[in-house]
Amino acid sequence: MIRAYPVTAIRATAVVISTIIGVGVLSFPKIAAEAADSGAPLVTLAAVGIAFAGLVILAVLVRRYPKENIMQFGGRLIGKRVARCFNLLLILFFATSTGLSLREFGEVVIEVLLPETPIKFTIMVLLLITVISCRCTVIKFSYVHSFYLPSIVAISFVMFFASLKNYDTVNLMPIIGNHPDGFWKGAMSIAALFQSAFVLCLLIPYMRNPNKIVASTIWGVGISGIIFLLIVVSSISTFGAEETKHLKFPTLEAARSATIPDGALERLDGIFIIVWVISVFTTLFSTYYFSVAASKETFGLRDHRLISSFLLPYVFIVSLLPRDVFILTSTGVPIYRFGLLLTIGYPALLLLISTFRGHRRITDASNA
Amino acid sequence: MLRTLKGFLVFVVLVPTMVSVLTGCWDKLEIEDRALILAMAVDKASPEEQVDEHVTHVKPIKSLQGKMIRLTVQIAVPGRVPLGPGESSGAGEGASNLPVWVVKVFGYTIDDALNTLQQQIADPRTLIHLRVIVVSEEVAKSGLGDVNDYFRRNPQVRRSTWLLISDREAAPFMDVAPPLERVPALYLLAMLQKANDMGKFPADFVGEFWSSESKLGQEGYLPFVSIRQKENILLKGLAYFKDSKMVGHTNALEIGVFMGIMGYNPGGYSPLVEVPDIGVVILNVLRRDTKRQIKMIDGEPHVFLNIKMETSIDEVLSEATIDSESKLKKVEEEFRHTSYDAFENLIRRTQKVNSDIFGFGELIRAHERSYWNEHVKSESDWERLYGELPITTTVKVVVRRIGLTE
Amino acid sequence: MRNWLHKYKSYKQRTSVPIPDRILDHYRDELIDIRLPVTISHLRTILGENDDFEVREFRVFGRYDAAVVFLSTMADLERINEQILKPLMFSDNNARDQGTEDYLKLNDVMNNYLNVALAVKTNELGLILEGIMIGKVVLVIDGNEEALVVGCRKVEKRAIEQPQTEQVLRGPREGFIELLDTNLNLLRGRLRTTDMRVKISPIGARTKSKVAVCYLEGVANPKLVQETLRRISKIDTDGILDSGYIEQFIEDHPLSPFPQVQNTERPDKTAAALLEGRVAILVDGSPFALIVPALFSQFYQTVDDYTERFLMGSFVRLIRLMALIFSLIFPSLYVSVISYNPELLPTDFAVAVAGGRAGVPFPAVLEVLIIEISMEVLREATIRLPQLIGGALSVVGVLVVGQAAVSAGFASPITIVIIAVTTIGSFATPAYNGAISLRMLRFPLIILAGILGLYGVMVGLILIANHLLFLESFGAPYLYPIVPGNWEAMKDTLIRGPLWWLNKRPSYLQSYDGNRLPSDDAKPDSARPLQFSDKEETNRD
Repeated sequence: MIRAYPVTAIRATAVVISTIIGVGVLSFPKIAAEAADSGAPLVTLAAVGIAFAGLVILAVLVRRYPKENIMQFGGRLIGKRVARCFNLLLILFFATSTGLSLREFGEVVIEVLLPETPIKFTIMVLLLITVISCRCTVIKFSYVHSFYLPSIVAISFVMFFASLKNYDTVNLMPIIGNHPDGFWKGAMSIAALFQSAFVLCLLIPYMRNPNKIVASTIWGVGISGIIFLLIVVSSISTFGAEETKHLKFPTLEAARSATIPDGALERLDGIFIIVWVISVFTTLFSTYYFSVAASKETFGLRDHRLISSFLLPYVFIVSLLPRDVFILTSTGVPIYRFGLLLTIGYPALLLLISTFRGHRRITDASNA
Repeated sequence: MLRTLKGFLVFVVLVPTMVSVLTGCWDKLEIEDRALILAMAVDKASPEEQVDEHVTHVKPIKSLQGKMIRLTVQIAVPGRVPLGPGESSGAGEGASNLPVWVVKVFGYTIDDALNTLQQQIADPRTLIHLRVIVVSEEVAKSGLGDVNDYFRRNPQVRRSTWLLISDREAAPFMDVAPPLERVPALYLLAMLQKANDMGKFPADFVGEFWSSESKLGQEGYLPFVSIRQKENILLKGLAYFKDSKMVGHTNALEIGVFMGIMGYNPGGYSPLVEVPDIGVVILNVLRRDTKRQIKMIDGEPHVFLNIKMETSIDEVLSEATIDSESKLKKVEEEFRHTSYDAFENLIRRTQKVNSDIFGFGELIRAHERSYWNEHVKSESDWERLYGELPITTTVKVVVRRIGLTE
Repeated sequence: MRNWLHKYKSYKQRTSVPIPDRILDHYRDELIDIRLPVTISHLRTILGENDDFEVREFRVFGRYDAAVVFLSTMADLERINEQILKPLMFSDNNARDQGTEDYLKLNDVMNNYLNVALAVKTNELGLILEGIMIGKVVLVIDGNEEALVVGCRKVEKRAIEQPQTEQVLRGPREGFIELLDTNLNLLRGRLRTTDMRVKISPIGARTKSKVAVCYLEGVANPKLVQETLRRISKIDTDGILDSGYIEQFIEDHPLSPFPQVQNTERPDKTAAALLEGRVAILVDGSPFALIVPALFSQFYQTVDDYTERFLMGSFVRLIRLMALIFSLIFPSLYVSVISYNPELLPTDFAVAVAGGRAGVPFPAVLEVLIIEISMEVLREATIRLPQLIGGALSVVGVLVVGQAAVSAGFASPITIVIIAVTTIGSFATPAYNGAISLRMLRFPLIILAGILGLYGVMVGLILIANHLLFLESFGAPYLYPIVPGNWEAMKDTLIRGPLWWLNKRPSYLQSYDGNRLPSDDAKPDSARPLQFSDKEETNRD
């Protein structure tokens, strides 16, 4: 039979971008505005920088072991038991993150699209699709991301340009903001949105050219960073930092006020919400897939399809646990911060050890 | 369960039926089953006509005693507006055949009134197509904060809704039925949209108003309207606010003055100027170019406005002809004087009531960060400071065209 | 339910019990007798019950006993007379053979006297019986161990005409017919290269239809050819009456609504597919050729795109693609906007739509479903009717029934417009099997839109898109080239790039000869310039 298509560098980039653009996109301008007023774009830039550093470390690390994934060579580098701990933590974190993202998504849908529908139903539907889709192989996984990528990127740019005429540059000044007290806290919270791209470490055994993964990561984070910047700029310059702090979903409001001239298309937010559902799906798909694939490696199981069905109850329960929006944020923030630490710290640690051991570039024969 | 054919049938036939009938469709509400509220008018209710239906409370609340508002809504009636082209319904018919239904309710707050409304009409109300809200001057003067709160929280309300302040009562606006449009609320909307397009009023949707109100260094403003001859709506001026309370209004030409200070285009106002030696000339302002600068002098911010206007001559009264450069220059000079006076006048008036609708505060906040952080901690600080802000204006006028004849 | 699952599993594993052809299996290994009367009576015993079974006994050259055995309904009697009986009974030949032998050798007859093109010697009874059933004629001469099976079939066929289901504006108007030989003739006529290979074998235990697998050696990947042959050889069933049966046996995902094998009645389309490196399967008795592997792009590409110039071709293709997408999502978008999110409509239109729907008793979902189902029934009905009535009915039906429904008050005019546009859009899809799958998928989308509004439509679309992304046809990803992201192939996907730009074959076929056109730095061979004079002798056919 005809061979399957290995993951190319462009597809890896697509995975990174569509994973990063997810639920957080809707409300992060508020976090940025609360952190530094009109310095929100700078906060976002800082966040992109942090995420960049973390993900590039990961990419460099993974490039050294192109035939294995992080579970396997982690065990080799720091001992099987310690690695197992870390792996379990990672799995737990990503599964929980899927649940929390689902809940946030459900909240938005309830608020904006379907007020009367019980949130369980909305969440369950998306979770079911994710679970069914996670039964695929890694290559098909990359297909899905590269297919949905153009719509996600296109809609961000369209939204930005369509709302240009509402912009007031005064709102963007001063660049560092009047009271940037929470600058780094805000940057960390936003950087936490980028860490779902951790999933790229699964891609490398299937890549056509594993060396290119670092370049893919750089491009991926770069383009997502640009999109995040555009979104936060559009939000702040349309409303001003103060109003953004009052809005729960600034991006949505900015999309609503974007109109094609002469009111040819009103309420563009309908289209925006549609495409946003796709981007949420791709993010959930990635994080859930990571939990499933990582479980398969850590527990030494034969294939991941059954695990996909088994993780469903856990994720569903997590998504329903927070009682209201405030608890969601207050528990979510520490969990995400912890995750950030984990997803940047663990690869950094492994990289250090790997450098000490003198493992440089590829050829696993010499790294055995 | 699936062993027998019967079991199979049960599974395959009954379950989908159950799914489609019992579970889903919580949110399904057909468009013709909704009461589409297209426009709303908010007035203070006079004590005689107040009616408390006790829809949201059992015992009256002490703090709200006597403070009822009257809400008049325009609901679209499905079926009266035909799909496709047809005669406009207003022509020759009385109000009874309007495609909208005007209902009046009372309540202590907006939500209270809307709930009372729902108690009286059959279809579930929906605000997704609410395009115009008219508030009376009385209510505006006592503060729009409470009115705004309901609309800001509700996800159905668009930020592109127009909020208007009416000089007397707001309710008659709901009955206005000009022959140009089938649905009256849409006439109101069209009027404002086209005013915006023609340069008669800036794009000041309720969303803009809310943003301005949130900002520390700027106050909001809203269109000030009035009814003429039962069917026409006059854009009387601009109502300016301080802390969501209305503190004054301008007249019609001063909207143009305001747009001049802000630099909004296109220009749509035609000032009438009396030029010595020539007579009365009406100019049309085509474009405005405004530069606003902040300079710190002795640690205090000074605002420098440089307004340049391009105009054309629309009408000249009297026998005078404009046939030379010098005559044109006279016109320009005279208009420069008049407009300078108008700009200064408007700015001083707003300074007197501490309402910075021009956004100078935001400009200072943006460019002079240290000064702002030190002196302005809340909205009231800037309101106070604005009253003493030195603002210097320079005006330049150019007449580009004089029309087809001299 | 369990039974069905069990059958599906064993079908997927392709293990099956062989189906017998009782008589043939019984006599398969026997040989015929050397004596003529014994052979004849044996054959009569086996096949004598058929009233069209004929045995014509005669004498060769007036001296030797012989017989021809055939089925009078299948064999061409003219040719038997002319090509077998005449030369063998011709009295002139009597003089030539003054041989002293008592028996006439079959070899002599074959070499010297019979003027038939297809003749096979055999002594196996099984082959003889098979031959008679196919329509061949068996010549038995006394004293020979072997008999001669001569191909003299009478063929009834229809004329070659434009295929009904694939009409084009500009392009050849030939279509395949039911006879495999004619079809192969048409195909070979377009690919006169020695690289073209045709492998024929019979499948179907009782129909014994001839199946031909065609490919271009050196262009098609041998693994693809092998896989195709393997899958076909595993087909073990009673009868193959149409290529559609073969399609259902060899496809990868039988449960998917999307077809993974393309079918066409046009020889030019088949030839183009072979040139790309695909494999074509033709069956005797069916005018439809199968082409594997087949992808999503088959749904909106036609011959017209290539015969017209590229700007026109690209434009029309884009319109077709839009029509395809519309036919899938329009009704569900309408339902979700009307029932769940009327804020997406402009205000004056929203009020008017509310007016249009005011008298309708059903919710939008039910209304749309009722009209959609009626349209489907109407469409099925028009297929059965002859062209004269059918053509008018479809147009009139949509308009009149729709209008009547509106006047009766149980549909709103906008619904009728949406459904009509959808129906017309689905007609624009060139591939019928693709059009059906999209038509089918419309209904779950409408129901999802009725349950969850716009969110439901998105969920449905994501499900469909994911299914398409995971689908494969003979190993090639279904949404190629959008998904594995091949720039070369994208030149022919949404737009139709000019022919001088399309110089590579699709990479999913992994053919050995990737270049269609010579590469840019190839130089013309100056030793053999093209000749155009009319005096030169060139290889004209």
